[in-house]
Amino acid sequence: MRVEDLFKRLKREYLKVRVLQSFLDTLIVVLSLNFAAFIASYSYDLRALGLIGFAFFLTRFYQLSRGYSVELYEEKNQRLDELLRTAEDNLDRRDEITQALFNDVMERARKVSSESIIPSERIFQKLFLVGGLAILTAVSGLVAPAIDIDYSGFENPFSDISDIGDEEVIGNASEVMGEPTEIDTTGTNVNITVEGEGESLDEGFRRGLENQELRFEASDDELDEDLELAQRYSLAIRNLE
Amino acid sequence: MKLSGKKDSVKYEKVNEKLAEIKNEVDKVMVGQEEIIDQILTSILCDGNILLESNPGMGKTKMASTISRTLGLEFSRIQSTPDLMPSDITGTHIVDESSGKAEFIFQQGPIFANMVLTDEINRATPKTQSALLEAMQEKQVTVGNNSYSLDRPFFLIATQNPIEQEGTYPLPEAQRDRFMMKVKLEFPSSDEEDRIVERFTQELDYDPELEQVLSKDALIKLQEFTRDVPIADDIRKNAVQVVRATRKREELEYGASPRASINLVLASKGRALIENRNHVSMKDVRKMARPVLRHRIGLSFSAEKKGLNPDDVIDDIVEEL
Repeated sequence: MRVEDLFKRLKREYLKVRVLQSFLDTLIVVLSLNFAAFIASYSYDLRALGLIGFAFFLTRFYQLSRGYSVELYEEKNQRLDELLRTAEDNLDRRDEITQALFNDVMERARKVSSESIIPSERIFQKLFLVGGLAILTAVSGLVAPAIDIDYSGFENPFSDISDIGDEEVIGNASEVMGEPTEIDTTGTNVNITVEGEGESLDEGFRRGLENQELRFEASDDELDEDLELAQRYSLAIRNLE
Repeated sequence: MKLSGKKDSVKYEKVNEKLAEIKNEVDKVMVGQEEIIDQILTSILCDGNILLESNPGMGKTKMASTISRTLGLEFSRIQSTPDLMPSDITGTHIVDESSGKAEFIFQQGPIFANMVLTDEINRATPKTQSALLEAMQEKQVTVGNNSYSLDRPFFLIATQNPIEQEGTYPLPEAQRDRFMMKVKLEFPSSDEEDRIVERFTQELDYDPELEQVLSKDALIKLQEFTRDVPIADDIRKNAVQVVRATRKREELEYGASPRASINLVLASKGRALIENRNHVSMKDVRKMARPVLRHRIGLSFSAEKKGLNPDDVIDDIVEEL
């Protein structure tokens, strides 16, 4: 790897760290706004919050990444102190001693990665903050039903169902079918007892149906005939299956 | 002084090895004074001239001659006195009759050497002192209508005595500015002085065998390496700011020139090479600020009254940076 590639790699590593920091900052801002809106009982459009978050991320990333300097690596890696700066400022030179400097820099910077420039303490603080805000957000979601929330802004996906009761009544059964005639209004008790060997699962259920014994008790002879007819139909249907 | 030769050319990988060898050879004669030897070597690497200030009997001449022999340089010494004439330094035209016919030929003076030690330069008259200016800056001398180039490399080490100022001619600012560094030789420590006494009292003529570590060409190559030592932009700017700060200090009547900025950066490069580094560090700038600036700034009356010296002011400036 040439020394120019080393500097490109170091900048990439730096930008990776800045993306991570910007992302965490954005999370903190978005979660904080969300929680603040909950506390203030303020309703908002989620898309607006998303846009704010995205804009904040871009701004924060620009802000954090514009101050890039190899001195950051030098501060965190004492063995590179002044070396990186000097090499960077003399990249266009090809004399013997500058080449020796480049070789030295390459050797010493081999193990340098973004880990060395990650502000670990800061990142952990932010992670804890994000965790705390996430918990608060979750808790606010649980207690939300107790709070009077205005849903007028939302489109109700079940509006069709709620409208059912308001439909116009076209007519009743009597108007369509006419008045019922020859209805025996005397009480008729139909006792049906179904006995079988119950088994679990489908096969057992099927077998149980085959073995079942049906007994009908009716107080009327006509009804008995009808029931026999119904039994035959049932058996025929079962055979068809 | 006996010499044995080892004059190979220098590759960058061997620079530090060679510099260490030079110091080892000088250590055979000199006791202690490592910092001073480093400063003189730095100045030589930067192709600069040195103003050496010390009390008498500190081994200035010994040090200069030892270094020149180790570097394979031709050495000459000029003792400055009020009646010393410029032609005594540069040389003069004489009538030569050896060929049977009288003709003027140029007889070179002691300035025609690679390393010239001018002892007690402040005892020479300004006219004679100024004769050295051209040699120091242009690396040439002009006698009559002819200019003569001096052999490269060329260094001038001028010494002056901080005491006995009577009957001396202090160097004008313009001439002081031409010295890359002003090096102050301090008294040795008790232990060092004991070793000096032991070393120079056991033999009638203490004369260890010195090895010539470099050739003239190798030294010129080393000087090129020194110029190539990379420096970060911000470190160079800081060095310039140190020099510029000397022009704004109320303790100073006048500050250092842009030549001081050039010399501070160059000296830092030389220092980096001596410290076996392939780049200039801010440590080098801080370390070189005193010898590069102390003879280029003038204390104000109030600062002198307070008992300050130039080194105090330079330290303050470097500290504030």
